[in-house]
Amino acid sequence: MHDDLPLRILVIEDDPDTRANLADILELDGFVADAVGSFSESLNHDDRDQLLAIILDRKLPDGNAEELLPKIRRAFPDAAIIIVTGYADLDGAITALRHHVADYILKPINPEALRNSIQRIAELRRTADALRQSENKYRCLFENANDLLFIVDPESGKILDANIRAATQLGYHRDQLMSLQIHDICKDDNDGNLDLLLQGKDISHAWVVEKEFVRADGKTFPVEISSTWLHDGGRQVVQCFARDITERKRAAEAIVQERDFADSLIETAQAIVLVLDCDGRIVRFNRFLEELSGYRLEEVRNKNWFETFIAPPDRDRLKEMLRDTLRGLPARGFIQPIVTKSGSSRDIAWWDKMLKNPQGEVTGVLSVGHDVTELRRVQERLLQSERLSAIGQMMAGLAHESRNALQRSQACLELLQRRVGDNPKALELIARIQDAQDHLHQLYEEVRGYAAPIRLDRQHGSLREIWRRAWDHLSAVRRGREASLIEHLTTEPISFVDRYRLEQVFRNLFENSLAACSDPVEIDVSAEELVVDGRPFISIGVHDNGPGLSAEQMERIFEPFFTTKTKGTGLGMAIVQRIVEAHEGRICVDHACSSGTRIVIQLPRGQA
Amino acid sequence: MNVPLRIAVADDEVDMQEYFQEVLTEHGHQVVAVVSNGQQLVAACEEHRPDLVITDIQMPQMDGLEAAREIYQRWPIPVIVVTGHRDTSLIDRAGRYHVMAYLVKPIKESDIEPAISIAVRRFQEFQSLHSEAASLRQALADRKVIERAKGLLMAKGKLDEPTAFRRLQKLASDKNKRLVEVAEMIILADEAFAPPDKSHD
Repeated sequence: MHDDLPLRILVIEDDPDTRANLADILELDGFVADAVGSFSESLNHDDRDQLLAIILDRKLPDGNAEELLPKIRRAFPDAAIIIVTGYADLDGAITALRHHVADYILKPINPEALRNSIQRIAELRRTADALRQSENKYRCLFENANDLLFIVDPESGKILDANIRAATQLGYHRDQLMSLQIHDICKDDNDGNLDLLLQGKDISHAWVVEKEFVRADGKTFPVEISSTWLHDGGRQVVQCFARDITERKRAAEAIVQERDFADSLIETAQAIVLVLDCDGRIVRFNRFLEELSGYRLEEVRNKNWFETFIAPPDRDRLKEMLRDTLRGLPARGFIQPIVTKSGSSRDIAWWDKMLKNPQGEVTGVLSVGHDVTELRRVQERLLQSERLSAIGQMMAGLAHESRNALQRSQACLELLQRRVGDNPKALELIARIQDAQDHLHQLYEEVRGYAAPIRLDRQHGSLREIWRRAWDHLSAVRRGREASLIEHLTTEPISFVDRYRLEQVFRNLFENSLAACSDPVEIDVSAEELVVDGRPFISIGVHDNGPGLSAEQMERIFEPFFTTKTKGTGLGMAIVQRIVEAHEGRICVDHACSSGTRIVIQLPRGQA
Repeated sequence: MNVPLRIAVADDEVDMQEYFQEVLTEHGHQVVAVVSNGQQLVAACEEHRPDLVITDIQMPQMDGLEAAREIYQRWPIPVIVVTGHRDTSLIDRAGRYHVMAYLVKPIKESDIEPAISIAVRRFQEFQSLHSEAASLRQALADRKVIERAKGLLMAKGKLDEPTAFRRLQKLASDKNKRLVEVAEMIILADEAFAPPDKSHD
């Protein structure tokens, strides 16, 4: 038998022998049998719900079975009823069937028949219980689900059932929901997805669509609906599961926003952002590097970073650094130049860090690089100017001492000249000493002039007057030479300059031309207007008819101590550049000039 | 065309002292003193009253510019400085102390004579302008005194202006005095007769 609790059976029989006999049979079969003599007595029974069956005698002192059956049904709704009767008649059987009597047993009682009947009832009962449990489970799931559940008629879209969650979330009473169609709670079904949900008759396939539900108060919220088909009492219904995805959508949007933000940060950053895989291949980099290097990401993606961007002598060392970074040693701020597409070099300060995927595996290296090329140039210039300033201080002291010493030497030389009198050989030697001493003097003054800070005393004036004066002051140098100054002006070259300094500039340029050119020397000075960064400038060209400059000379002409002359310090053009730049101007060699040398000076016009 | 000058020289370098002595003499000047600091230079000027001073700036005890200032305050003599420095502060001081020329070492013999002749000529011009300004200032002061005396005559003698002025002129010519001296006497006499408590009116 069963291993559950013993099943209880109630026997209502007025004949004590039959009653005892029935109870014995049942207890032998393992049931718990309660026996009473009348219906009214049976009402005292306390475990009515537990009863499996009632064995009812057809004739009882308080009425026959036909009269009592409705009352018994009400008193024991779950119990199956077996009628025991002494004689078989049709009316009795029909009445019994009408009252859903489970079985009909004739006296004398055949224990085997009774046993079979009871066991069939027990079997039915177990099946019914299982069914009810399953139904309860389903109901429980349905009601307590966190999702909104609906049972919908696929033809009309009518909501046949809905769970509590659906009612509360939508702001309706459950009964109100049952009078609506699924379309009533969905925001406009333009895409026809709802019909797809209801009409997609492929039972094996669960449809999932996103919709907006409309609450009773008109507010909406996004849901994801999936549907399955059910057979319910011979008809097909659709079971819809709707999940509120407000949070999910918000989270997804936040993620998208976060990603967009990060992307725009990477793309607009004025720094290199570079990702390499573990083998040093390029995974991605940002627009900054594209603009800096001239390479598009598409053309070098998956290529080896070191072979593409790093000069050959540095490659092995950097590959070693990549391995260090992959081992978890981050690199901070080391400077490593990259080679751009055009072949030029940029100094970059790098910060490297290894990258891991969500599983914690190392997938590559993230490098952030700052272009420090300009910074380094500025630093070098600063260093240079510091050096110059130190030299300048030294030279100021030296210049005084040298002037006094030179003065004594000069005085003695002149006295010597008097003492020597008329001795041509001695006088020639004195002249040569004088020459050397003059040169030494000039050297000291030039070095001092280059190293000393430039203080400008600026005035508005015509540059033409200044270069003409410079030309006039060179008359001693021009003596015996065939040299002419030609002017081509398209504008009156008024500028805001230190006349003395500018004269120094022109004198230097003219001296260089006179030294480089053979006669007849022609120096062409031109002036025209120019706009630089929205400011009016004067552009002066000084063009001679000499042999021109070599590539090296063009490159190095403004370097201190660079000279092609046998005499001279090589400071002349460096001083010229300093003076022009002190005027916020620019000076350069005209590379486009095909004959002779052409120097271009651009000076701001200054306030009108 | 050199005008021979009496020149005092100061430089702490013996080479330069000898150089100036010889070169200046060669150019027809008389070197009245050669000294090696500012104090000695001032003393030499006091003793010799030279026509021109040529001095270094940086010397022991008193520097050349300090000496130039003192000399300018005591005797009107042109000063030329010859120095190894050309700092703006020194040039500025030289300007304020009435230095007539500022030469930067090393100088050559050919630089000296032009500097001397320009300095002397500028100094003379300067001096004549100076005395001219002084006499103009004096004339202006005299005119004020005469105007006041004339006013007194007009008030006390009930005279009109031309008559009062003519009387002043006549008094000066009769007493053989300058017009301003007569005017001062009239003002003094007026003060003598004025009531003591109103003497400051």
